[in-house]
Amino acid sequence: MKKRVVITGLGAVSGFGLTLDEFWEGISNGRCAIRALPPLEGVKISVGATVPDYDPDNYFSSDQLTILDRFSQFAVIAAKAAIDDAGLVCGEQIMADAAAIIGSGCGGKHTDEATYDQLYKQKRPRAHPLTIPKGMPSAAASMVSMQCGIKGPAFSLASACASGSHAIIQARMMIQSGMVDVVLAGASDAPFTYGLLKSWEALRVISNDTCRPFCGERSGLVLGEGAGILLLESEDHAKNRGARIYAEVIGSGMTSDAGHVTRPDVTSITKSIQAALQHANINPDEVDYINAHGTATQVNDIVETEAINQVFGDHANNLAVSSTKSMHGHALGASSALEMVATTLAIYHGVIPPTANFTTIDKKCNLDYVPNKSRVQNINIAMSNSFAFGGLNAVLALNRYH
Amino acid sequence: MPLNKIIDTIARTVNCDTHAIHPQARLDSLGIDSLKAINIVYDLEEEFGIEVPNEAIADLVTVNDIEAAIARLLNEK
Repeated sequence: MKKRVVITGLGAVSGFGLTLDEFWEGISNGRCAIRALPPLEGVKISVGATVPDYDPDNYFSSDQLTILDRFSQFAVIAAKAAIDDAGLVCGEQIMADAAAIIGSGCGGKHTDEATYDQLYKQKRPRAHPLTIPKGMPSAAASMVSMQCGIKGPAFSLASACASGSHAIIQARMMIQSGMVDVVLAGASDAPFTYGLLKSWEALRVISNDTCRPFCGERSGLVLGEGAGILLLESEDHAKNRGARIYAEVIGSGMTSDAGHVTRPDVTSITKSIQAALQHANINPDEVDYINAHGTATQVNDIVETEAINQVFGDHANNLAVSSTKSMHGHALGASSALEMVATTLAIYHGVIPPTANFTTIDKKCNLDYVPNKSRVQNINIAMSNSFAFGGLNAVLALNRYH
Repeated sequence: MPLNKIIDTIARTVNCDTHAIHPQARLDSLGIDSLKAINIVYDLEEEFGIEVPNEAIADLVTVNDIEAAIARLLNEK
């Protein structure tokens, strides 16, 4: 029989702040972390869920900061918080034997863009010598390994907005295979750079209002930043050390659209949800809550709704479906990890975080989106959907641990 | 004065007091590994508007060596 895999530690850096408590306090109360951005010349994007009141000097020495891109900083802060939350200690043998899989949608863009500005715009003759190790997409995985004393397998994984989900799925498979007992898995992103803001602007999917998933007045996605890191552990390992268990990861489904680069494919998405149910060996009517991908673009929300209706049939009417992106924004790869943190805590606390900023109904979006106010409800099984640009879909199923 | 600027740069990189850095000091005794060395060279290239060739870096063993290399490159400018 395959090993059971449980979640015993959580870390979240988000628009609500640098701690898990601030994240949960925010989303479980339906608060929105989307705020006005400081005006940037030539940039139309005016709102985003940036990490508030963050001073890197409070977390890292000046020496450490020379090599830590903003996305690595978030990853390390969330990873250390998850380790601490799990009752483990950086540098001890359990962490030395552990693995780290840290996804990212965009990698070390602050570093890359600073160097490009220096070279292309200022025409300076040389790049900073740490540009490569600081900006590489795997930098966050390396920094988590170095700062947490993780000496097992460590690598990065990229699947745009599903990076965190794919990382968690990979982590679970590694634990089930017997390769490791403990994995830090999640994702980190820091996309508020001039180049990325202009690039997102060019895609014409960004709202300058706020994020209103599944709502008749939705106007596009709102970027966020941060990191979500989960400490996954084999059930035996967790029980042997008397760890608190938040939830169990019971299954996953992954598909690829092999179609359009940005338009989600309802058949492929449907299959990914069905695959997760089948993998977890559960019936559709056992699911209580879905943390949706819910980007608040016109197309995503209709296609995701359609897929949920196809998979769940009549039970779709009994399901609670919410998009926490309405509150923490779309932090790219980190979003999928933050949503897994949200789903885990929803099960653990029996509280469903709402879809915030919901005003009017779109008749093509006909599910119970838990508008604006969280709901106290016992959840036995929940799912978390992530459907990335490029057609890379990852769905996770979680069980209340018993 | 190049030497003062070199010592300032080293002090900033290894996070120590400038008084702790003697011109005869070996760079490795100051905790400067090859990665820190190329950071220091980068800062000095920017400061003095010079280009330190790759092959010169291995010969930089002491603070004095850096000063001599920079003086030579400034002369050649």
